[in-house]
Amino acid sequence: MAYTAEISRSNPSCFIFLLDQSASMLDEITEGELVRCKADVVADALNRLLRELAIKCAKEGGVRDYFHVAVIGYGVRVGSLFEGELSGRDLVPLSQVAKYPARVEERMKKVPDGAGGLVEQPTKFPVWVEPVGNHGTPMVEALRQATILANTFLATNENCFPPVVLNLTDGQSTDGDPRPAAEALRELASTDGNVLLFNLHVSSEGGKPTIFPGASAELNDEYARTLFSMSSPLPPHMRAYAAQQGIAVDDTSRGFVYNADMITIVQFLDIGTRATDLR
Amino acid sequence: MRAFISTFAVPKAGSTDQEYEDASEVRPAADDDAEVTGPWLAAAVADGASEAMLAGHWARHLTTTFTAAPAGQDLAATIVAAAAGWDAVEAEYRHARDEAGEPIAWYEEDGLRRGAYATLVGVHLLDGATDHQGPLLASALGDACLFQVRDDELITAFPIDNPDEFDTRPGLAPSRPLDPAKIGEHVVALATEWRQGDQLLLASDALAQWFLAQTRAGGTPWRTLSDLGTDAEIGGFAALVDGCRANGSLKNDDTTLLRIDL
Repeated sequence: MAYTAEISRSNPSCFIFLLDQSASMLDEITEGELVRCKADVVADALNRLLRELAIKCAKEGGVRDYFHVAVIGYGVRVGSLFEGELSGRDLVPLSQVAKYPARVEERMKKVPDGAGGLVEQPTKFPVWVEPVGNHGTPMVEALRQATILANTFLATNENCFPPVVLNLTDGQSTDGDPRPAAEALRELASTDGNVLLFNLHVSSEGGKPTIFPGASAELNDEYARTLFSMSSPLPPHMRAYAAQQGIAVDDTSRGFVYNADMITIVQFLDIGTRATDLR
Repeated sequence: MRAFISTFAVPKAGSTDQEYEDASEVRPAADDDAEVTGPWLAAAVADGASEAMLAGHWARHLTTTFTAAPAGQDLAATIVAAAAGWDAVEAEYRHARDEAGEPIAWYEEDGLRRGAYATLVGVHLLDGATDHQGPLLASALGDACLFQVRDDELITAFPIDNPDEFDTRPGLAPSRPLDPAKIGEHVVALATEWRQGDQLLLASDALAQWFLAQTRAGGTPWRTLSDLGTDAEIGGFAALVDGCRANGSLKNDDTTLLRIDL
């Protein structure tokens, strides 16, 4: 059965993040009462995804290398966004990613107070990528680079849980139709299944936030429809986890979200017994 | 009662012995393969959740607390009592890290704040009218299991008797319970009887699932586990585990067996 491979240090998987840094990402979107530019939204989403991934794989003594991670930006150029110690590197073991963020901020976070309420506590929040927006949107080239990286990883990890590629974008590719490049990427496979391409779409068009829509979803935005068509179907176990979290999914649901959070995909990955509270 | 205790433990393939996060405990304390005699016996196996921080510490803390608790005490109360001591365990760990010049990193803080999680199965055996049989009180939270074998037959599989019921989301005892009342809704208890000659097997989930699958297929896995020997042949258990992992019948996980031969 596909997408059941063990994820471990001896059989790691990989995450390739693609971050749109084009000029259109400076456009503003409204989230409730909050107005932010799209570049802020995707940079924040990516930093939170990396943080969640590191925390999920953290044990006493360090973060375990269950994943290798690449963060590729596309705008003025297409290339790794890692800075400092990791500058210029593409696929990096997760422990190194956790060890070398560009900087660490302190933010207030609401946590359970043990008595049924919430209390604000200072929390360290690492930052790997900053909001950037200029130049065009070479999404096709970004997908090609992801294909090269996934292929390289698969060459030495043929039995891995398939690489997950997560593209964070407003969808306005300027170097051609991204669908063929996406298809070529999704055709790569380990013995456990094809590469998973997920898309997180931020849009100024408004409309209802949508998470893992299926074939019947009404996507008014042309770019949303393109990104939806590029996205991999959600594997059955991911659909099951999504359903448990109250997300409406069916067997046509794809790894696509529109103006919404995708932090859940970190929770979809099985690295062992989940640390969950009794319900 | 008289009992021979044997414990077997193999870490997940790819992990070191120091990264093993199951735990087992027997009281009265006895060396491995030693005979224990007395009017009562307490034993437990716990399995720390892989996604949690300090899961092995919590598994050990739980088995220690369980075997020191009065027989028949509600398992939920035992877990709450163990959780009450968790701050001290965490403080000791933080102190040790500071002393070693390796303070807690940002990615560890969330996990420490949430606390650790583990499954647990435990038994108390008490003398009855004779020292050849008596009450057996078992309780569990999650998918660590007790198997009772009598006259070469499996007569008890607790709390799970179906190999299809294992997944990565078992009920877990929390070291920082958000709602202690919930624990009581998930613990299960069994009151039955032990007899001299019985074999009790306490197993963490991977071995328990293998055991039930073998049984369902018409096998007698208790004989296999008996043949591991009574002289600390941990290598024998490791070979069995390696072979079963290789043929796909045993999930790659920390694997623990506590065997009580009465």
